[in-house]
Amino acid sequence: MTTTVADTAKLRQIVEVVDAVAKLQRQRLEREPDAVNYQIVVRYFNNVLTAKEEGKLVVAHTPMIAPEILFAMDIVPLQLEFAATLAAQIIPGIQECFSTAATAGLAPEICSAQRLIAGQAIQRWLPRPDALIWSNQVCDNTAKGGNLLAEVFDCPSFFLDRPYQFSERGVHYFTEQLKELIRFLENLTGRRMDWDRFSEVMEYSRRLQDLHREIRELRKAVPCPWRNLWFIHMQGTEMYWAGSPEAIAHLEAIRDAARQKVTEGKGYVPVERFRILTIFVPPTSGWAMMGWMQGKHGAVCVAEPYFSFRDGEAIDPAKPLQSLARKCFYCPICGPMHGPASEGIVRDTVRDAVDYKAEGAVCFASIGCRQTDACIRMLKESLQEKAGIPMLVLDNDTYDPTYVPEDQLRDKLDEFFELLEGRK
Amino acid sequence: MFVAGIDIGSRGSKAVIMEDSQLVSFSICETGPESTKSAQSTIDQALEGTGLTLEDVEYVVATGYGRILVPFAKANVSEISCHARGAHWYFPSVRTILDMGGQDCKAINCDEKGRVTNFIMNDKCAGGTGRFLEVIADVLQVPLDEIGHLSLQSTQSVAFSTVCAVFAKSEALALARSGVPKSDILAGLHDAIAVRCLNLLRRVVLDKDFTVTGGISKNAGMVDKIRKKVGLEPVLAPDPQIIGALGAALYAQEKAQGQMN
Amino acid sequence: MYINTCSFVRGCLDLVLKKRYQFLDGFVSGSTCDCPRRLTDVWQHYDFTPFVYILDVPRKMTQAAHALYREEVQGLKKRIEESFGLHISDEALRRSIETYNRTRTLLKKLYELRKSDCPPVTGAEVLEVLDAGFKMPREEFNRVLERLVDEAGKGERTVPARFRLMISGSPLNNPEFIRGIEELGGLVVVDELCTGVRHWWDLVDESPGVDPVEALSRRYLNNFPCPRMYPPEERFDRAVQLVREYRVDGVISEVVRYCVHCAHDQPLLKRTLEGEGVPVLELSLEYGASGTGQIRTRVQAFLEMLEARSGR
Repeated sequence: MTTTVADTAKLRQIVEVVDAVAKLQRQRLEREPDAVNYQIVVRYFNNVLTAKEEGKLVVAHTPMIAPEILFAMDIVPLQLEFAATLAAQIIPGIQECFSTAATAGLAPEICSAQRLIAGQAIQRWLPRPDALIWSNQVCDNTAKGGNLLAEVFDCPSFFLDRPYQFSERGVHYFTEQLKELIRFLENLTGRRMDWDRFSEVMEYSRRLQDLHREIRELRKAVPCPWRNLWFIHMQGTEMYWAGSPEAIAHLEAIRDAARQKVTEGKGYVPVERFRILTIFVPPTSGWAMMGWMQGKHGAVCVAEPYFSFRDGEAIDPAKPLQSLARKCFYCPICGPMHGPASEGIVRDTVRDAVDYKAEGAVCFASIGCRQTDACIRMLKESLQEKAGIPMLVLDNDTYDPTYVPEDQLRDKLDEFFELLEGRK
Repeated sequence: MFVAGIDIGSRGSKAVIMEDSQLVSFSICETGPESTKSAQSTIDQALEGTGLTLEDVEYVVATGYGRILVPFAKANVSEISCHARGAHWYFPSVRTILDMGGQDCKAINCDEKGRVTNFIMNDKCAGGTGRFLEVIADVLQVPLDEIGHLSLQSTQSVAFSTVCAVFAKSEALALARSGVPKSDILAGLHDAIAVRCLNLLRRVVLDKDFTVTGGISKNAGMVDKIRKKVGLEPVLAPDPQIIGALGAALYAQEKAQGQMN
Repeated sequence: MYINTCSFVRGCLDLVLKKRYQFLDGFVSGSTCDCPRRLTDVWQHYDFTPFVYILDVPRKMTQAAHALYREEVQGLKKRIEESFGLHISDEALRRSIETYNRTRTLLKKLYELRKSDCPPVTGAEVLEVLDAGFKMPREEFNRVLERLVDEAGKGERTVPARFRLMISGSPLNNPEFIRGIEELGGLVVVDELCTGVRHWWDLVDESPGVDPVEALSRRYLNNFPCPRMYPPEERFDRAVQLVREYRVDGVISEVVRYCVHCAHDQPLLKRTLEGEGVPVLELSLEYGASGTGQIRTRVQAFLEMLEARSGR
């Protein structure tokens, strides 16, 4: 079951397609942020492809492993879910990957992201990394998926243990975990961590966080200066590029485009009809649906409670390790995925609904995501009671488009916007 | 010495009478709401014309879902073991068996004596089973025994995104309404089922000598797709539905001999 | 909660909604896995009891992890004392540890008896005993358990074991499930369940001079590992050890749907055990399943397969 040769054909295919998309977007002025996004996606995978010749190590990892540490140590990250997402969108044959995962004994209840990654790894869609890091930063699936992957990749591996609660003792433990990770990487590279470089990286991370907050403020405007797809792009950049100048360039492009619209008093679409709160993410095969919602229904995604930097915590680049440890508790996804929900995701969702004048919420309930789905009822009731808005629940599978055909999702959205229209 | 095997499946009930490992007669009936009654009428039908009565049969082994509801059976054996034993009787060299039943699918490995060495069953779900094909035949208004042949006439198989019975049904219906030829729809569905079967087979040892048993193996279109997906030519028994009952009869013979010794 | 919440946790919630937990003053959970964690969130949100506490449980067994977990246990103690106006003395903790260790020692004796060729008890009976332990006052349970161990040790009753089985996996409390297996001719001689050995196996250190909170936290973190712990080999090694000690012929590995930790471990555990020459039957089921229908067919076929392998 081990991958013996580094197969880069699939990654090259991804790079080619994304590169073409980037060039296409470049031709349209209002798509500057998209062009930057696709450009840095290309750079991300090119870094993986050229790592060997540049004498750099590639470390594969599961979501929210704080790429900052890898950047600080001049290691090339390969975020497995990111590769899986793009592969799922670009390369035919993901069902074959699910089959492979099933053959390897992974039950269908296991999140499709993990099954897809395992299937891709076994099928050698992914090059063999120099090491693997995984963590329970997001959920049980990310916590457990690494055991099989470490075996398939047959490389050194490290499990990063993230405590449940954002407490001083939790942060202390996690800081120790990060130190252990750094030692692991130092042994791998044969080089010591460059703490000055780490501080520089955390300065980028700090600026990125500020940009997130700045953009959040801009989106409060009515009409909203926002293209729906941007939040997915933005989240991607946070997850894969945090701590790099590339991330800053991307968010600055979004910020500038949004700011210009606000200055002009315009929205992204000519007529903004509905302001929508997005709960969790649309399926990877259905990103185009976000544009469709905006074009057909004038429905604009104004905020995403699962993917926001809320106010409060700040990064201090002079204390890179401590700041990074704290960030891992409150950053997008990681914070809301862990409890307590009452003073976390439930409270924040209601606040966003009010602050952003949302008229409805759309919740993407992925069958593999037990944590977000378990909150659905609390969110739905709280939004109804405290913000007076309805929430549509769209059952789907983030990675497997055969679970629910996209037509059905669009039909339900059509109905939902009719309902919202009727409420006006 | 006469022995019998009876297989009370979810859709069909089958009985086999044997004498000294030779097939004497068999019957295939629909399983009614009362398994006990179905068992009686199925065995009666198998006995018909043989000049035998149930009293002449030394030992009866029951198998299938209704195996514990056969009053005249002395023992019951799981359908997994029976399919292995029955397939082995037909084809002694076979080591891999794909049983496509009315309610589930199984992949089985057996040894040189027809004894199970490994098996895997799909989860309880109608997708990819005999029941599923019945539903589809019904939706497309094609007689069940013709869907396989019709699927073979396809020129452009439709890629089905799902074998979830509920979704596939509505997907098939929508395609038919939009004018897609039934043969193409059926070919696509058969393809999707074959993929599921392949996934099951991959979890056991896939030997070059393999057979497909159960009612669906009479469907030529299905067998064709499996042949293509698996990349192997399955050997097929003339009456694949009775293999479970046949295996049960072989167990009956073994047990009867054990009783005498 | 949602359809992808495991049925064990949905079952807990169901009991709350049916008002079967009216007698409770509080709810304590560990941050074991996603479903119980979200149950804690729901519990707090709907205010089922005024007292709700969730303990952070690290996934590693390192010194640093112990330090964190010790503080978590200390924190729980403090919160209970504050919320209920109590004082939990070291002396009381020591007494309680002694009582619970007594249960563990007795259970170990009972399990020892199951190592014999013809054990005095069936697996279903042992699960009934364990279930009683979850419900009865501990002192009373110990008294009954002591009598049982004495009785069983006399060797007056024996159960033939055609096939010696181990049952492993997700929470299991339904003795009917095991009874169904045993009716088909297998005898469950040991388990690797979080409602079985993973729950009670290891003792808490009672040595004088050891701080009881320290002893408790050390034991509960270092216990027979749940599939959530890292590295998984810790669990697999101990499962293999049980298989050897109890001379197990076959393992039934049951995974409650959406018990993701178990599901991820499953293929690795299966391979480990098969490497020991022990076949594994994988069952995916709902919590509380009684083992009828398709499950029965699979178990029967598995036993027939064991029979063929043994040439019996």
